[in-house]
Amino acid sequence: MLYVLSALKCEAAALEGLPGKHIVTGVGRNACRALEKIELESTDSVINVGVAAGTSGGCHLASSVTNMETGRRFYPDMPSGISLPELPLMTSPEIVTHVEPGFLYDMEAALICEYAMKKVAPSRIAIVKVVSDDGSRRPSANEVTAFIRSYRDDVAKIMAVLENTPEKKDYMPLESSVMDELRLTQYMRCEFEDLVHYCVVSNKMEKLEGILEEMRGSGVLPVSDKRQGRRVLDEIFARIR
Amino acid sequence: MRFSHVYVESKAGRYPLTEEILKKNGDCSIIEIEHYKDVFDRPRQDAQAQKKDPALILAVREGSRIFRGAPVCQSFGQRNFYYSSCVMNCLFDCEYCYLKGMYPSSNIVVFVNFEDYANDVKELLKEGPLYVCASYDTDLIALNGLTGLADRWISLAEENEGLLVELRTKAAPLELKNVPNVIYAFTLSPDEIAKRYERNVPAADDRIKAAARAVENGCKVRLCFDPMILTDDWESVYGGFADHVAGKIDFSKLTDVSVGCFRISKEYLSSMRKKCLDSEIAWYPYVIRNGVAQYEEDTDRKMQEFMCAELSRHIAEEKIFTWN
Repeated sequence: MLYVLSALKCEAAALEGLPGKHIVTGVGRNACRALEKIELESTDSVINVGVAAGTSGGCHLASSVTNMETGRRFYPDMPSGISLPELPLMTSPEIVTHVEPGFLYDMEAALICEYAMKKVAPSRIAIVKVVSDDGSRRPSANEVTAFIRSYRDDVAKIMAVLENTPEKKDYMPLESSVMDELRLTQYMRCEFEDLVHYCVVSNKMEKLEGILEEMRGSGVLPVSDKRQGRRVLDEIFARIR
Repeated sequence: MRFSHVYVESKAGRYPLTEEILKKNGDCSIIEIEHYKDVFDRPRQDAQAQKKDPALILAVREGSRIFRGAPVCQSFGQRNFYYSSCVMNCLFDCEYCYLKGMYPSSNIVVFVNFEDYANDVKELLKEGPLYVCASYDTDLIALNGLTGLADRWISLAEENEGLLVELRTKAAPLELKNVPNVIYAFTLSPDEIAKRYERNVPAADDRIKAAARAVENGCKVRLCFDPMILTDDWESVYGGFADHVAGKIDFSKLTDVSVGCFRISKEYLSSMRKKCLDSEIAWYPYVIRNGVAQYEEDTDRKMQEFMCAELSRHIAEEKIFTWN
């Protein structure tokens, strides 16, 4: 799942129709509450799109994100093949009225990074900021929507990179009843699962299933106790190797 | 190879090598960082995704820089066997590479304070001759165009005759400098293995030709038939390979050859499996002996003996080294 996080409704409005689950987090620390409700999984991706203060206009990818309150710095991996300019982003707990050249300023990206990086890879996180002002004035909601809308295509490209993640595979295609037939201890179950994983990736599932079928046919399976299970498991290992 | 993103540690900025590398790399996005570990050691990195477009990290190596050789590595009968990593990670993408289990990231770290490495070597040389493998956790020759670090190790060897340097590579350089105390170690795999498991690596025959050129130039050359990879038809894959290589390289001029089957510390294997879910090499049901995951003893011995026998038709047995 791709999560598209924006602090304001007027930011999210510019992204309507783009893929992913769109969430308006609220500004600053309010974002934390919204983030806690998202049950991120390691295969998810997160993109934060919003406006920022800065002196260089346009749309930027954040090359680093610093929490100005704690000093913690986060480095999302830069997505491949995206030609947007990059700048370090500072997340301030308050509205910024003075900006340094060469930096962007927002109020929630560091909180998003802190949360997301506990769950997903840094290559699955992108922070995209459109400069709306230099801290001396606050843009209207309509202006914010218009600023972001003008970079919709760039945002869509980044989303495509984030969404391009490998499909989840099933590395344990056998019925769990096989474990019972083999009377496996917890440790032996792990060994067997690793072996099945190997058979899946090396195209040897047919061979493994053949061995199990043959063992059933000759009465070796199901085994009578765990000791016998160990012996049979060792035999399966030897035959697969 | 050009890196689109280069992370530069704040301390690394003042080293001339940083400037040289950035100049050679050309147009790129430079991101300043406090410490290389802030990027390289981040948790939950997707090393597989990073491998497609790795970033470069320029850093300063502090603390230990020269290490005692690990038990899974071959000393080739050399005393005072050390290794050094002035670069971490490799441009190439070999499915069996232990670096996948060793490092949390596929980004490439280049330590720009080579002078400190040189000073450490000179200190150790005071205690006697030294054998340093400088290209274990990377491929310095493959990266030499950008970093010049292989050249620096070669110069260091030229200046210190008690130092013997091994530069191991899968690259196919057109020319290598003939220095008596530098061993160029070419890792060779049969074409079937190279095509199946070695991505972004020069073709097997190009590596053989590069080794042949180095031999003809009088360089000390070691051929590494290591790691041998178990396949259902390994005897036909590896059978004839020694003859094929010997047809192109004058074995009488080789320093030595090494033979070894795939092996990896059990900790690295565990980490490799988490990262490489679709790798048949990572998921093979190895046996663990003395903390090292390896093929079953019998298989390991058979493969190694087979390759040694093939090689012994072309080179004296005392020049064939095995890791166990």
